[in-house]
Amino acid sequence: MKLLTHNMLACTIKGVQNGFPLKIEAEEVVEREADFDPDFLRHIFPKLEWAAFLEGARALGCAEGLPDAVPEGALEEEAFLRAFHHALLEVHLEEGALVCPETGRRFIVSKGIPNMLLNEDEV
Amino acid sequence: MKLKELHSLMQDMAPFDPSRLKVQLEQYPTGADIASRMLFTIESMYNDFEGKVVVDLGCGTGMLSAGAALLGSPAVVGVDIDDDALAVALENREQFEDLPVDFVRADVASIAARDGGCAWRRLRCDTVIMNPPFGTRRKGADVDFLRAAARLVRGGGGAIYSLHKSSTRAHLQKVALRELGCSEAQVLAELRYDLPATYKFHKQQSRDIEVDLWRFVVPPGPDADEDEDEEEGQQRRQQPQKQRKQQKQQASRRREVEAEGSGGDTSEEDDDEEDEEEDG
Repeated sequence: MKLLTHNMLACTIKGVQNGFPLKIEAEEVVEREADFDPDFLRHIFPKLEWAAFLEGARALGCAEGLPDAVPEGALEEEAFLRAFHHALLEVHLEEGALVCPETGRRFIVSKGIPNMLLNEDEV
Repeated sequence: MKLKELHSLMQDMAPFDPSRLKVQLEQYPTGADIASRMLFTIESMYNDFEGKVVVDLGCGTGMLSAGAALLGSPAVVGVDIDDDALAVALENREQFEDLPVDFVRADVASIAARDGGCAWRRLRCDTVIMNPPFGTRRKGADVDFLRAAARLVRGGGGAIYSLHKSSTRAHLQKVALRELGCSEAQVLAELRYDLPATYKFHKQQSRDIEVDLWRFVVPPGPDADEDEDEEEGQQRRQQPQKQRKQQKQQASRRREVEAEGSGGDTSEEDDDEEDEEEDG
């Protein structure tokens, strides 16, 4: 799974107020090439929760070139766009876990698929 | 990509493993025919794959997910509850090099349910595609999927493309426009879904079912029903709610007085009922 997908997921256990962002425990990370599309990056940037993305990028070891706060105009710079593209779309968490920041509940990631299914008592 | 090309790529994709079908999930294959036509219609008429984040709800073997990526989506997320189906979906994805599709194992119904105060910060998608259960085994399953889809495109706004039995057309239209806050609910095409005899309880060899391809549009902005999940929203709403309750109490006291005096005024009573509906 990509960091883009990570930005969509949250712990939805009943009663949890802060189930986002999920912390990443990385055991195996792989890279797969993706088409570089600056227009798509500009489209997705304002929708993305940047802090969550950056935290994820650090956990996956691909945060190089990604600032804490993105300065104005960065979305026009090739170097930033390349770093953003790589971390968002090319780095995949293959094995590991996603951990709820509030409850510590671990969601296992296997073969790139996070298992977000809840137990009956969690729904 | 041409329709023919898409169709032939989809024909090569593996179906559900017949020994692992789960009847309660209404797992029926989305045939290459219907899938390619559905996807091609969406991209050629509305351009809702190219450059868009797409979620495929109840993705099964990943047929629609792969198709959306082949038609230009840079990021597709297929969601399904069944790991047997997802295992096949992974194999299907491997047929294409570096197809930008992720899979997530989750219960679509739990996306439809209220999902905590964190919900509003999450990334939403632009487009949802789905071939949901028709709700014949578990009543309401089709609407659960639609509700989840609406939740996923809320915020930035977006479109939902979905297949439903034609017999449910009037009901779905009502749910989409009145309950889910869609600004458009339109049947793009009527299709015949050739349902092969998949399960033991199927008596006929195969059966054509009339199916609608829908397009639902969700406008940008938070939805009233989501609003209650948000911490800020809650604080914002609690105050006026309290005020409204007080006003209502005052109003009803006033009415009692008026009723004694004038013999009753029904118009205010009507107003009061409307208020209660809003609060619930």
